[in-house]
Amino acid sequence: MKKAYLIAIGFIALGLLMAGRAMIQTIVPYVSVAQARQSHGKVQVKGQLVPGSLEMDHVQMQTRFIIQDAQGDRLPVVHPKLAQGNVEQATEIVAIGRMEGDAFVAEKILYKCPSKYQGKQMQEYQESSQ
Amino acid sequence: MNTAEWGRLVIYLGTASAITATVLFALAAKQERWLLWARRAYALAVASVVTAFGILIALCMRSDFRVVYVANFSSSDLPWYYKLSSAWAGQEGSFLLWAFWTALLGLLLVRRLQRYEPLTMTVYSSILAFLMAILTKQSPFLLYPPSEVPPEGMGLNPLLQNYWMAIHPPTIFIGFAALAIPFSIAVAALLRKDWDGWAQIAMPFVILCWVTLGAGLILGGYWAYVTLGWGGFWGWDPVENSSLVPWLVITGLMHGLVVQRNRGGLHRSNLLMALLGAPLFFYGTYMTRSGALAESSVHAFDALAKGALGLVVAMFVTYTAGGLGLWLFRLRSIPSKQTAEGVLSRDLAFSLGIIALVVIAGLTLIGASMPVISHLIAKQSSAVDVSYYHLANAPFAYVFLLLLGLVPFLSWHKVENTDAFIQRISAPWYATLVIGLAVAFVSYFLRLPTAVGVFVLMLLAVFATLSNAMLVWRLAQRSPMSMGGYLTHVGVGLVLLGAAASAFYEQKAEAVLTNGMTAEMFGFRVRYAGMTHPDEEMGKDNAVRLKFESLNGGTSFEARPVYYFDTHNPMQPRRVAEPYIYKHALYDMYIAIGSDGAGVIERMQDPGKTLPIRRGETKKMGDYTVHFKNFQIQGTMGGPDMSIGAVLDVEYRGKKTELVPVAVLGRGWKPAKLPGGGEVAIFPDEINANERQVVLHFFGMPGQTTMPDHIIVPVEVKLKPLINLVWLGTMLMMLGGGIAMRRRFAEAPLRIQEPAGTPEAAGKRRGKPRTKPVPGMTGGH
Repeated sequence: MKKAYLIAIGFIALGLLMAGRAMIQTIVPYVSVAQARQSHGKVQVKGQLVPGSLEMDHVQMQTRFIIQDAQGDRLPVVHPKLAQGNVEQATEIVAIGRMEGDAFVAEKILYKCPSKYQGKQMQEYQESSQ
Repeated sequence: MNTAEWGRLVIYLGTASAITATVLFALAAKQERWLLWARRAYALAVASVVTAFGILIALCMRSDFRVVYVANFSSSDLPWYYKLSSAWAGQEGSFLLWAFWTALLGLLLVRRLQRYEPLTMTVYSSILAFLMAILTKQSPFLLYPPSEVPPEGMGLNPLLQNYWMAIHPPTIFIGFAALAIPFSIAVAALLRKDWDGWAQIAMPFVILCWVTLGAGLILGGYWAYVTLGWGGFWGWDPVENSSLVPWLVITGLMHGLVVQRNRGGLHRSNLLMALLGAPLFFYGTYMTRSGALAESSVHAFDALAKGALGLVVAMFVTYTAGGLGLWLFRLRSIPSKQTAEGVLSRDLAFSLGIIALVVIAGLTLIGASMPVISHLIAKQSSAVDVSYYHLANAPFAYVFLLLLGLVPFLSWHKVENTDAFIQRISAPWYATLVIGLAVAFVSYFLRLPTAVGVFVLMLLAVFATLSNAMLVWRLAQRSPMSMGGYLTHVGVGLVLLGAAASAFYEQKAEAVLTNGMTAEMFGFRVRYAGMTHPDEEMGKDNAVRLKFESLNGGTSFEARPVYYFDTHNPMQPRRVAEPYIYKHALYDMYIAIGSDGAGVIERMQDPGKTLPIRRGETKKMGDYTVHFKNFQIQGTMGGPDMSIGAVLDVEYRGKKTELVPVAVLGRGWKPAKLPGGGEVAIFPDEINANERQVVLHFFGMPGQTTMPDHIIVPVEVKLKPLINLVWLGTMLMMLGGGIAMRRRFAEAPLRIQEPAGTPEAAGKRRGKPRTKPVPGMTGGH
């Protein structure tokens, strides 16, 4: 009887400990462009797509664009994949990834396109990930 | 009064009658004479909800664009089944669907409650009242002012235009609605201080909830897989999580009730789980529809209107606080009996399994709520990466799978003798080891990727599948009705095995194709063969034709991934792309067009001109004089990264510029910008190394009239081995759940004794009490 309880409690405690570690390892803060430049780990940056900056590179198979955050800071983003969907219509982009040199390498981007399907003011998020 | 106004009216009528039913059922708990009127009020509420839903469907089918909702989610050119589906495509419609199922399930519930009826139905009617009240604040029946009525609706999102849209939401909302049933019964049990009777009544409904919610989750996953093009069926998206978490808790409850029934234990935790299911979904509804998680979800729900959102919050707070408060208040009087008697007993296995399920639910909930939690704690929002869910849940998933494999060999009433136990599990255990060794060998020789964690997970899944399959085999011959649970376990094992294998051994290949150019992928030569409707780039349901010719004598086929422009909004045509899935018994070939290819195709719609040119030659093209100076080669010779550039001197209006358009073997190219606008490109398949010749393609030059002869299609192919195990497993899960549900619906009423002088005295119960469930009212028939 005692043994059964000990097994159960030990198992939960160990599991929760590992879950806590997983949480610390995988947490990704939302940051501004300025904070992103200083960051070392994985972060997510939200900003508006700078018009005309979107570039689809079919040679290197990547999507490049510049986002501008609420403070007006601009950040060049490289998404190492040809983005799916309708990125060029995006009003707002969330880039998830890390700084490499001067550019932000986004392993995943979420972008919001004005959507007529949900009424006038509604927006629709689309996703592209590696 | 037009139809939509009738709709608004019946919503108000439904709200009023649901509130009345709540009050009358509460009175009936004290005085039986109110019961008849309570039922009548409930029946009126049901009639109102059904009418309201019928009106909304009628408005959608009739394309009545005076109604804002219909104009937003439908259009007159849709076929009837999509018009029907638009009835639940939006916020308001999906709440109405939720209310609709809640109302109808109440009819099934009320006839099986017996002495539990007044209290259970008080709680249950109040939930219906909340849903109806939300619909008064966020009405699907709003009308445009006559001057602003649009001539045409906006149409249904093309991604939703899929037959799954007609199946998935109606199914999953049965499950959401059914969550209220165990909640209501548990509250009644706590009030009545009856610790066992409730479990008998709740059991079939808990399974009903498990099956419908599970089926909804599966259908949603399959839908995402076949239409969204990212190649997965589960993404730990907030909306997915908000259905998964209650489903896991209900799974725990279902097993807890089995323990309670067989061993007379787990009273406290079962009540707790029953009380958590519905509030967890209310919480999920708030999180996904308030816009709180908008930045991390791809599901397109706009924020609810303020009043409606307030009601969702009130609903969550009321039922969480009420349920948990009552549970804590009664905690000391709820019996707490030790059940687990030894390590090798089914009691302990079930208890640990339930703990694992609930902990997985909790960790998932914390992960999904992280943006809000971190904002409260650290004033800075953070979200967890998808890998969190795998890392955090993995230890519990391992234990869970191990238990799943052991359970068929454990019994309720005795602690197993260790030696005999080891003897009995040896067959599936050795079979698992043999399979494991075989996989290890194959992985070694084929140089497949290896990871201990995934390997262990797959072996545990194999073990669980085999040992449950053995028991199913035996039960199928003796008592097929009792094999439901084990059949479900076989399914769970297969799903996890298929999910792990198809993700871990997935292989990916990419290529950019043009006319006449081929690429080799997974033993096929792939060639672009035009569009299915070549003349209408914008035409609906257009698809790219890709010929896959087998290089080793296998079957050849033509893949047709959907690719077209949706032009409901002519100012902003949107690409719609759907993958093509080539099914093989052992794998799926998942063929997606990078919708970005569209960018290129669009550019190629610009008339283009071709100019073959050899090294050293000078030729004229329009206003340009081009001299081809040299090749510029980069990357490994013949390797996949090898790129060939053509160094050109271009003279345009007296100005000379050096341009280098580049082609990458087997993958694509990069055009160079021409002075004066336009671009020049070379394509890899047109480079003739012997003749030292390339073909220059000019795009976007002024005054061009001819169409280009090149269309560019970026293709992404994923090979997903064993993915069919996932679909097979889900079918077994649902089949097993169906069998169990049928069994429990057939037996539950027989076990409840009718104490004398209970509601029956108030009359009006049709049929004879409790010999058989009334035909047509049991979900199992």
